Amino acid sequence: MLYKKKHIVSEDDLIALLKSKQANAMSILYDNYSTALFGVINRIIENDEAAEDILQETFIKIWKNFDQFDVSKGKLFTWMLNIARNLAIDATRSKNFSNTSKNQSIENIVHVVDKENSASTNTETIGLKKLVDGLDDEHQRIIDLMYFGGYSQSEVAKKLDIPLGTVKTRARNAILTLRKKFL
Amino acid sequence: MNSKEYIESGILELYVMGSLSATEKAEVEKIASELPEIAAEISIIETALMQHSSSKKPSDRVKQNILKEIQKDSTPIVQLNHNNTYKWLAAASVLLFVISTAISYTYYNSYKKTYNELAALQSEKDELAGNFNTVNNKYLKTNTALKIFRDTANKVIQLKGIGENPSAFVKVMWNSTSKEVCIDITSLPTLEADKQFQLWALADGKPIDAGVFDLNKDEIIRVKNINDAQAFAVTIEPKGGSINPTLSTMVVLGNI
Repeated sequence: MLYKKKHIVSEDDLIALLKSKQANAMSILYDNYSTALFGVINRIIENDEAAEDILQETFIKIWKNFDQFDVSKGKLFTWMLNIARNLAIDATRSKNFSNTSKNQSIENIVHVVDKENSASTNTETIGLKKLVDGLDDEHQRIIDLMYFGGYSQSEVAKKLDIPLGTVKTRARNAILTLRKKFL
Repeated sequence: MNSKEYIESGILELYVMGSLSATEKAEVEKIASELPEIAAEISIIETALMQHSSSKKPSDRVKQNILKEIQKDSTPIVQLNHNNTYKWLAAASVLLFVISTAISYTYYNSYKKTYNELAALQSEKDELAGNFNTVNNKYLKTNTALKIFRDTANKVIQLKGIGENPSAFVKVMWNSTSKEVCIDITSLPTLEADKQFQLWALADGKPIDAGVFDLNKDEIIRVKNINDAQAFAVTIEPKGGSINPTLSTMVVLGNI
């Protein structure tokens, strides 16, 4: 398993150090969160090098805008996740990416899931299959849309044509499955 | 809704994934800050999601680029995981300070001692040098006197006390070749401050001034050259001497 917090520094301490612009706090932040954020970016932008560029951009943006991070308004990871996702999604929409078949728009994420639902195999979905191993389609789609795609609860409800409460229940069950696998 | 129901509703999962509206998000924040079990659940969900997306490690160049990029905008590096190291460093520096103060104090004391000893030696040296000079001067004077006495060209004339000063006694050394005259006082009466002794040479009955001198028994006194004389006499005269001798004050007299 790749995910592992290498540095045991409390989130509060890390935040305080980042607020005071300590470069080595950035090194710890990177070690603790880069792999998870890279997974999210890489899920949106399949090309590794392009995804790495976005990851770099993400951390630099985190560094520059850290004074805007407010502990009382959310978790550090959620805040960084949002930055990473937005940068990755923006990149897929920019001209440079539009003609590259290797990159997936948010719509594509859903399509990939849809394709997987059909019996046809696609090379693009091999990594995904491995990634979401253990989740059934329904749960897979919820995670894809929300975690990787950044969709809101109501957008997901609309897209999947299910009640808001069901979105929550499915999200709960999907993550419980992940927890059984990882924790 | 109790915390178990709240956890099971799935709202926390949506919270971590960033899918809640601002109002719902604020509500979760508030509850999480009040109930530790909610905060703990959020952390578990976060960890599960992070693990879920951690399938591939980005290449090391990304980290290097980031650290390079932010370097210019950062405050100086502070060690994070080494609080103990700091404590040790602080303790070590305090210890070092104490040791160096002790050493400085010791060295200062020995410096002070050495300085005083040196000053004592210096003054001792000066004293010895002074003594040496005194002795050397005496030696030189004695040597000069001895040379004069030994010189066979010198005639020694004994001038004996007359009148009120029977114990007065002076020797005159008169060099027949160079005509130099020297005096060696054995005994003469003490003078008032405005008086001096004056030596006279008597040639063919006429007194010739041979120079004035003070009472100094420590050395041979050199006076004026005299070409011709049959006798020498010393009178007491006003300071600076007289043109003619005051016969009434004659102290010593000696014939050649």
